[in-house]
Amino acid sequence: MSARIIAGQECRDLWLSGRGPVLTFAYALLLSAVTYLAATNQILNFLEQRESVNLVLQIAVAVGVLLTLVVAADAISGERERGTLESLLLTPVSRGSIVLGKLVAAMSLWGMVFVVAVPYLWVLGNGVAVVGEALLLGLVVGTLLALSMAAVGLLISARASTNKVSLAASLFLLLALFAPTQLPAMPTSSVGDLLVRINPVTAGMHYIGLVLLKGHTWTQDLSYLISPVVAVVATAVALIVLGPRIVRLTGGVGSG
Amino acid sequence: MPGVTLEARELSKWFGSRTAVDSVSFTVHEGEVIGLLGPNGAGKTTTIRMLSTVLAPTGGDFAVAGVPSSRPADIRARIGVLPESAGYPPHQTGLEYLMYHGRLFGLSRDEARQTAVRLLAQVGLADRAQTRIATYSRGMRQRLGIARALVNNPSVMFLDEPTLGLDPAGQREILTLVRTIAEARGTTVVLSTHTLPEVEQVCSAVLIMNEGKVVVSGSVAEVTSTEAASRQSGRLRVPPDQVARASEVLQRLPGVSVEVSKDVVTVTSADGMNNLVSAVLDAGITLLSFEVDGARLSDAFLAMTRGGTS
Amino acid sequence: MRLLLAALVLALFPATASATVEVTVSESRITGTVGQYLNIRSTVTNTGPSPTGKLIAHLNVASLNDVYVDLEDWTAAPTQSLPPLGPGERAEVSWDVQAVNAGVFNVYAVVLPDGSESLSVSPPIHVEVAGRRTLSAGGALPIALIVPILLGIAVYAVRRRLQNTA
Repeated sequence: MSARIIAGQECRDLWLSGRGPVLTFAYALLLSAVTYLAATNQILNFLEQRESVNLVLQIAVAVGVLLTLVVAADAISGERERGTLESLLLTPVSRGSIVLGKLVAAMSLWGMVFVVAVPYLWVLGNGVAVVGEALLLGLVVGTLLALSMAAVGLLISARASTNKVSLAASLFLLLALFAPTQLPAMPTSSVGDLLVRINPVTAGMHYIGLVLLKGHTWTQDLSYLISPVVAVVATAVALIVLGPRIVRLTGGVGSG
Repeated sequence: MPGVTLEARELSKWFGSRTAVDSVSFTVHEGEVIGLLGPNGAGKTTTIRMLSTVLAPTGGDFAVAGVPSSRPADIRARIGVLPESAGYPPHQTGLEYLMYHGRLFGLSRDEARQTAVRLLAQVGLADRAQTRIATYSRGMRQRLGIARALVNNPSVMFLDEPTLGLDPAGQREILTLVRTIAEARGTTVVLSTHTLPEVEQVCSAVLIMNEGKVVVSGSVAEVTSTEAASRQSGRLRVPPDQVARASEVLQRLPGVSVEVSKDVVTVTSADGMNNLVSAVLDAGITLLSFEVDGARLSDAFLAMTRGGTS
Repeated sequence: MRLLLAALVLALFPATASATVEVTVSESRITGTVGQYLNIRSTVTNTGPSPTGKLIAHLNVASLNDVYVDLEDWTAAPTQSLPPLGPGERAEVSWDVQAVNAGVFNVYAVVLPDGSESLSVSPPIHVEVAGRRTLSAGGALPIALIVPILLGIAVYAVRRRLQNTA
């Protein structure tokens, strides 16, 4: 109940008076530019329609995860610095409810990012019967990644000594996780494949590519989803166990 | 004698090797307004944060409104706190802010709205209920914070520096509000403030802390008179053309030392102040004012905290 | 919608009598468009009485209509290693190939056993790859404009609300 109230207020703060609409607007501009270029096929020399859909979906998932992580990384350390966390901690609401409420609010950004991507995917995938598959893939993989990154962001935010540290650490982590997706042909060697599989971001992105682009069945490479699922479970458990202890007035390691 | 509503026993808090609060014990009775005084770093805010369960004590325990410290959520349900330098979400309106906190204390949406409207009126913000907090002055934010602290109809209120950064009129406004709330609701109030003259007016008792320890506690009169009795110096103000003569008269008295500055004659005497005043008046000198050191709470405060700045 | 079709034809080289390894493919005919990824799956079976050594599976693409084929463009990893197979054992091996040229092709898998034994070759997959599909800019433009405009209006409305409560 308390978590629902907090989530509601956090969502109102994010969407009715905060950064949510502006961030979504900027993201939509990016998708519009990419979609138009992909569709006209003049600058981005795509060979096939599925590649365009895959590109937009990968961008949607990447940006969605990024924005979710940024909001989560600001959720506790930001409130701490703005001086509003103390009044929240002074209510009888449990720390777990505070964390859950903030997690839901951060995930609302991923939800909006996904919804905004739908028309772009529809227009690019129209005619090759790939839209439904792309949407479902994006929803499943994107939600797994966004959820685990939001949880990681909250943990970092609760522990960080300042909001800047929280944002910097979170962005660095995300960059480190996304960087391997830009390496060519990672899964062609056994070591490369292992690296792709243990990194939830590369594994999830690779799985999207395999199903959407290379026409694999959903079950053919399901093992690539192990690390995203494990990441969600592990971060959720960490939040449940550590949340009540690390959501406190002062941040930093060893603070009282 | 009203019952004890707040009791701290050997309460301590260390941050690493630094002791912020060192075995503090005290009791506060129902309906009492107690002033928590001390220089910066004395441990006032840490004490309030421990009593409001935001910080876990390193040692000792406490009970608030009969609830032991082992049940922090229950304590939080019974207290109202205005934290030091509290922040407010700038995008929310005063009404939204109070409604949100009302709901977090278990009120239904309608109850939260009614409570918010009533409290905003009580703290004089009814006409600003629908405007964003970003547009509020500091004094208005402090009043909003007090309203937030009242949203759960608390048994005990902790107000940490509610007058910090306010002009004299703003300070008076807040302290009047505190007094009104304490009288009208019978709420116990723990008031940490630096405006000592106002504490004398508002508080029925004071507790002075220094370097993490309680150095004195009791009623304002008790604390002030204890310190005043130990002091034997004062200041006499006379017309400028009579300063030299006053100095001459006073220096003739045994055991008296005199310092002159403009129209103020500062004297120290081993035998008290009465004979000095008599001597000056007997000499036909006009006495414009006479002030004994230690007769005010601020003197007691400075003496007991060894001149620490507040 | 469909512009060109390319065909991959698996050149079937009959296995010699001494071969102990058999290679099969999951399909015999595939159609697609340029740029599409094709998943080629094959099964390698040891049909002989003795275990094999380490095996190497290789995919090849041959054009049937004189279209130039650069295998590296089709797949970055045409060659894969397989563990030794005992008698009767089988192993699955698959390739993701991108049809980068329009035309008609034969795609086939070859297994190279250790020693002097002969190559084993799968039946061919006949692949027809259609030419490039031209995407419709006319369809994408309205979406590319409408979505940001709607979101821009939402941002403006939020800002207005904040101003009105100031």
